[in-house]
Amino acid sequence: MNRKEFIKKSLALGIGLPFVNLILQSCDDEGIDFPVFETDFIGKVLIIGAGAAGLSAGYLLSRMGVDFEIVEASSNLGGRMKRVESFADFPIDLGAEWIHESPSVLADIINNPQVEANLDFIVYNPQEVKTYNDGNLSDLNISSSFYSEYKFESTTWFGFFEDFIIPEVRDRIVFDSPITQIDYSNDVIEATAADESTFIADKVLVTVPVNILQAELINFTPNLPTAKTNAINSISMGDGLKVFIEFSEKFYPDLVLFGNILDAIVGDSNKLYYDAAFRKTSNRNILGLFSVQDEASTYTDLGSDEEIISFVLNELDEIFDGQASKHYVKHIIQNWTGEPYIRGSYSDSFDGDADTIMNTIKEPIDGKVFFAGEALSLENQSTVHGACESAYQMIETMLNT
Amino acid sequence: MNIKVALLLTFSLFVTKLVGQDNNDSTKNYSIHVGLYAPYVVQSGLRVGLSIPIKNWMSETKRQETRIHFLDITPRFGYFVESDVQRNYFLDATFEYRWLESDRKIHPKIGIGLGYMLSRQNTSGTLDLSSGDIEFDTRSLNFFVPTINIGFERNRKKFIGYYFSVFYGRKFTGQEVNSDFIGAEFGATFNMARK
Repeated sequence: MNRKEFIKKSLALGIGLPFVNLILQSCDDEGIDFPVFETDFIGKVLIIGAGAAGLSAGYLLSRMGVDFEIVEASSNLGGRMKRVESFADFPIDLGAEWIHESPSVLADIINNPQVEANLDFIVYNPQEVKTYNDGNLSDLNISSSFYSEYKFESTTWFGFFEDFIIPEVRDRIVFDSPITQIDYSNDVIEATAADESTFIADKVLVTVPVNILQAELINFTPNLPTAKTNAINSISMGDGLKVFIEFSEKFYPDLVLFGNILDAIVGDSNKLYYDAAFRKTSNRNILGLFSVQDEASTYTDLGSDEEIISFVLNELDEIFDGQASKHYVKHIIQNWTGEPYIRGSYSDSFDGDADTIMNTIKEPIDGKVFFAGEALSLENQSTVHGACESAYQMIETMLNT
Repeated sequence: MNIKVALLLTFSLFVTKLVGQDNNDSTKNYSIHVGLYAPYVVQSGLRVGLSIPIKNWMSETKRQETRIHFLDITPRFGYFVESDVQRNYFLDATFEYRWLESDRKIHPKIGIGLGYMLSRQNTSGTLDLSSGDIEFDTRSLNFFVPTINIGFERNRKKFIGYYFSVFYGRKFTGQEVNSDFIGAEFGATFNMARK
């Protein structure tokens, strides 16, 4: 159980006792471990996917002097990290946005004492918080006293990777090559892309989103063990959508949650409107919509961007008495469900014991096929640093196998 | 800040003076309270106070048991933190009513309090990527905090006792939005006879 789950369950059980904090310290932010080890592995590693896990796996291999190649299905790197710089007067994360742990985890990810750089961040604990339920907005400002995370002040998750991870791996990335076949029946692994191009390696690390594996867009020869396939299929990864809207006036609070007050506090917060410029150096009024899992399906099922923004503005007009349409300037939509090589948001729940499922997926196949990604980080699931942690752990396992 | 502290002290003295005028009992005890303090569950800290008895009296219940009633005023200082987010300094006084049947060890108590809180909140920071060290930028917020408290306390006949209480209040400030203030406190009492 991670810290977030513990707090949630503690609140749900009503055990708001002084002792809880003492227990919480045992599951407090601890960062991630950058593996330090030696290996006598001589060969090539193929990494499928250039998202956070794939890029950080390449970063570690580069640091260790191991030959590797990253094959990316799309024309872009970053996976679910994506940035837009032209929409506002600060860069906006269209994908992963929050730093869900102490910002020192960023230093853990790059683990480079020689780097001479500082990074500015904001403490994200929205002060004016409301919850919308049955047509009414209610104050939930109390949440500012127990909910707190972090965000980049003047860069983004993508920008962080661009500055510190990508330079180590950029020339090893092959774009526009969606892998459709991985043949690991021989000593040498052969991966085939949709355009029939092939990639040869001694070991392969698969870091694609779990939805891609579930959709069997990649065929394995021989087939993956049944236990592993069942484990992959028991992870739920729902829809995902982010919308940013600029308004001429700020009529909204720092954060709007949905449901009754108890739901808003202990619920999953799969849908929220938030002031994207909160504590940023900005003169613009930018409201964000974050929506994942079933809550996102309401929007993604609409189909076109025009229908989505119309629905969102109507929803905001209902919440804020017509002020959204009145002050609307422009918008940008990122439909993660519509991305052909993402197909959703992030792993959410497990049909079974999470620990067992993750360990089944992480079990190497013949010492040649490995899996990593945000879904496979037990302590930091669904986060960027969790994806990095998972990649580092699997590379260490791989090179010691 | 100074005006609010002065108001708080004035409130404490006023209540002490007002209610303590017809005090006629010599068995009163001062009690030092030292408690673990946990607003909002995720914040934690320590609170120290001095419970000053201002009045007590006896009555008889329907079952003809003797019930003793107490009125106390407890000025306290508290310090609690949310790691890497905020540090809070809390000065308050609680006007408390507690009662017990003579043969009981535990007695319930209820109270109302008025406090001043200085909150030093981290709003942003700079991370040194080579070392992982963080320097935070902070701001100060001043709150005026009325609370209601309910809990129980070990009878003060022995030198060391204990207490538990939960509280609900409201943080008022002109610098930010107002918000609720809830939490719990568990602590020890050190009871000293007053002659």
